Amino acid sequence: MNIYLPYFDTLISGTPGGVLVANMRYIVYSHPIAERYILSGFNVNFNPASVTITLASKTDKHVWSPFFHTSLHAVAGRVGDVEPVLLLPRAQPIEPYTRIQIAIENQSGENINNCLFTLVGTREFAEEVLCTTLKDWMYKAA
Amino acid sequence: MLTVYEPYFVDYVKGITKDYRTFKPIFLTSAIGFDGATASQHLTVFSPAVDADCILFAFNVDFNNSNVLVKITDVSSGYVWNMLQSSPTLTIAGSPNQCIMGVTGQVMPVLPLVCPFFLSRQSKLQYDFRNSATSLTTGGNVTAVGIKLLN
Repeated sequence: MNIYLPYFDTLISGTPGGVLVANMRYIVYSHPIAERYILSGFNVNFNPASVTITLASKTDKHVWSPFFHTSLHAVAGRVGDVEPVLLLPRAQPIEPYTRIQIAIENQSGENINNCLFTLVGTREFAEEVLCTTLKDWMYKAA
Repeated sequence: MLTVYEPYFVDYVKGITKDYRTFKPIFLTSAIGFDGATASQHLTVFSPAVDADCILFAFNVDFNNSNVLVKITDVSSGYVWNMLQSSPTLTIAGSPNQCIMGVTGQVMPVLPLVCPFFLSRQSKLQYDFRNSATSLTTGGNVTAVGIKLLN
C-alpha cells in the first residue's frame, strides 16, 4: 500500500550562482531519492530565449532527447504563461535512486540570471516509512 | 502490464472521499506580508487551521513574480514538499512559486496540484517564502483551494 505526496525537485541551472552564461552548456542532475516518484512535468523560472535542453536517465540508460535541438519551451513551457508547469504526455515513473541528467545550453548570446529548473511530480511512500498522520491518510485512501 | 499514471490521481481521491458523507469547498488564504523593501526577505506564514479533514487541489497567489520562492511543509506530518539543491554561492529557499501556485492574471490563475494533498484536521501548511532579490513583491496572499470533508 502506498501514499502519494506532492514533490518538487528544484535545481540550480548554470553556474553555482544560477547564471546561464551565454553560449555555455551546463549539466545538472535531479536528486536521487530513496522512493519512487512519478514525474509529471517541468517548470523553469526564466524565459528561455534560444535555450536548448537534452535529458537522459542515468539509471535505465534512456536518452529522452538525443541532441541539443530541443527548445526548453518544448520541455518546460514558458514562465508567466498559461501553463507554468508543462505536463509530460504521460506521467513517468522514476525508480528509486535514479538521477536524471539535464543539460541546458544557452544559445541566446546573453547571460540569464537566477535560473532554477524544477521537476514536478508525486512522491510514492511505502507504509513502513510513514508517520502516524500519513498512515491515517493512506488507510483512508485504500 | 503497462501501468500508465494519469495526472491528478482521481481514483486515489475517490478512495479518500468515500469515507465521508459530504464535502464543501474551502479556500484557505494566508497573507504573506512582504514589505516590498527588503531584498530576498524570508517570511514564514501558515494556512488557517480547519476543524475538519481537507483535500487541497490547487493554489493561487495574487502577485506575478517568478523569482519569489516557496517551500511548503505539512505541520502535522512534517513532510516537506520540496527537494532543494545546495550551492556554495546561491541559497535556494524554495521552488519558484509559479510552479506550485500558478500565474495570476492568466487563464488558469489557480494551478491544480498534480497530486492532491490531504490536510488532516487542525493541521496547517507552513509556507516559507523568499522574496525576489531584485524585483520585489509587496504584500501578497496565498490561497489553497480544496474541499472540506464532512461526516
